[in-house]
Amino acid sequence: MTFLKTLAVATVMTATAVSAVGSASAQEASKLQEVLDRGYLILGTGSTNPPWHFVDGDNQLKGFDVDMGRLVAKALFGDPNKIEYVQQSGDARIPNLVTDKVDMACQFMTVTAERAQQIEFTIPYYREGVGLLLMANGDYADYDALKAAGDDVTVAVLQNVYAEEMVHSALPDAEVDQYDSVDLMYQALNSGRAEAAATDQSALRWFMVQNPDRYQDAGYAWNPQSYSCGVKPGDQRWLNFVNTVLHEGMTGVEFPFYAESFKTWFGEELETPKIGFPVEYK
Amino acid sequence: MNFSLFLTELWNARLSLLSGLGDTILISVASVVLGSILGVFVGLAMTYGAKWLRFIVRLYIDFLRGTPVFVLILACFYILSVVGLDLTAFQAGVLALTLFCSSHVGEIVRGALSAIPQGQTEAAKSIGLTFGQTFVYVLLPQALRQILPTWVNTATEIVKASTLLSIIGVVELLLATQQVISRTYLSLEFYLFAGFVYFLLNFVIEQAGRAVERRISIP
Amino acid sequence: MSPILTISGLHKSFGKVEVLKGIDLTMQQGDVVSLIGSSGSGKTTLLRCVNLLEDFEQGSIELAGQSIGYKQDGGQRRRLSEREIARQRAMTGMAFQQFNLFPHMTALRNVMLGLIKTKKMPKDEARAVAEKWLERVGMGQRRDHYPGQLSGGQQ
Repeated sequence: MTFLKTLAVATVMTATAVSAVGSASAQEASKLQEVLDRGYLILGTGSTNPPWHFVDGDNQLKGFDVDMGRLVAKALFGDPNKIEYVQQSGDARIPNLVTDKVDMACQFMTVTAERAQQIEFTIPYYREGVGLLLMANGDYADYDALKAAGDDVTVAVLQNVYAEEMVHSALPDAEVDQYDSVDLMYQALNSGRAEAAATDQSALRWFMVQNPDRYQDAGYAWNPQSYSCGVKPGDQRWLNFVNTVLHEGMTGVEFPFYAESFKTWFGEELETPKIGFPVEYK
Repeated sequence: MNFSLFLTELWNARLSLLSGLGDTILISVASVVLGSILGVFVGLAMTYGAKWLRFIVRLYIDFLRGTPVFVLILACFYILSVVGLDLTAFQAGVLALTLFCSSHVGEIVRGALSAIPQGQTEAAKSIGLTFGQTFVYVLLPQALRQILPTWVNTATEIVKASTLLSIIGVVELLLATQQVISRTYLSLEFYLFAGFVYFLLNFVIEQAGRAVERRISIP
Repeated sequence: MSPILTISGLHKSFGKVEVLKGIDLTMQQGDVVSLIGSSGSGKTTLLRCVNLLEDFEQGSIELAGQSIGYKQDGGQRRRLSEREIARQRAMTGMAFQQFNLFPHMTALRNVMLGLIKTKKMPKDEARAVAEKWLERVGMGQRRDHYPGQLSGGQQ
């Protein structure tokens, strides 16, 4: 989406030029105060990617990204529901931030250096990777068994330019079958046309939460990438605030909120952070 | 294709799909109505305007017709907000489709007006009609008949273009469908369903257009 | 008796071509005048000037005591307003070579349009007048037909 990128950059430059003129007052006019005065948070997120952000049967926006926004709303107003959602496509994440259409964006945004030049990232709240989904009663028990089977194994994967390369970096000899949509990929696994499905760890976990005891995780994940929320650049006060909230969600007083959400969407019970010396400085 | 599962999920999702369909219809109707009104003025300016006005309007038409609707939508949403005009995604989308529609209608109106023989205007003048009366009683009724088929075509284009509003987060029928697919993993079924609904919408529009065409045709 | 129509010193050019080079003409009420000339000599142009379908640069046309199309305003020659001109056009009748009937209206409505819009006649009265005249030219039976359904003579 080169056009959007160009637009975003152009907008940032315009915004920078404008803010340079009024930089004297920038310190007092933090987004933090603006949001507090407004009384609700405007969160940019998507609506078509479970377990991150999706619309459930009751037409409610749900997911792990949504919960991160709720965590921030709770920290702001003591009420996680004080949010106005802006449903945006993945391409709209950065433009909507720089044009002030949203206060922050939490939408499974992979942290990259290119993006960091256009917006500011918060600390990461999840580390994504690619995993392998197996049938619970299948021929192969885990990653080692798959690897040992060499080219007897067919891996189903979502169509993508790098799909073959991606699978081969974990299973060098496996056959790779690419599919147009997630449902077709899972069907290939169900029908035995593929022995494993390679997909995002989060999607894999979510699928296992929805279909308990039918599938298992091969226990190997690769291709790490960090997911962070994004804010408009140039507002350190606001960025610090969101960072503090996320940090305390993962390590401090709001850990139960974070852990509950993690369990809901990824089916995994997190261990309580070790009491004593702060774990992040070890 | 699992048909009974699809029907169950379709029933579960009926409210959000209906609300998406409602938005699609609202967007299309608003854009076509506003765009047609604006387009008539554009066509008039093109046909009867002073030279400088015709030049400006020609630029307007060529710029809008030469730009992909997708880019127009993004421009209305993002560029306008930079200059301080903060439209919601819905408003920006309707604005973009209205502009797009007006450029097409403008061109159609211009063509239809210039296809009416000069003698019609002169005959109207010679019985003493003013320009306004000439337009309303003589030119417009003839131009409308000529415009109708192309105009119906533009309307169906707008319905199809409304799907592009999903990119800026307007939950019209396509995005509503995608939301259901992401929850149910029934992509083929629901895309086919959405395609069928769009076909139905446009089929109705075209049939209605034909019916009107038959009614008002000059013997 | 003063003349009903007086044309004096009328000049009309299309670009560099001067078509009417100072026409003078006087007509009394009841006169029937034929203009005769070779093709392209300006007969139609003269008529169109009287009906203001063409602007003219010089000279004047006076119809029933009114100066047609232009007025003298402090030594300046000024074009009348569009509304004024429309009213003056209604004072004359013009039969076109190509009829120029309005194809989307019936014969009756074609006749009624001018009566209602420029003579400000009430609809019923206009209908009665139009019916009377169509009857008189033998079109009574065909008044609800559209021009496309009429023969050349009927048009």
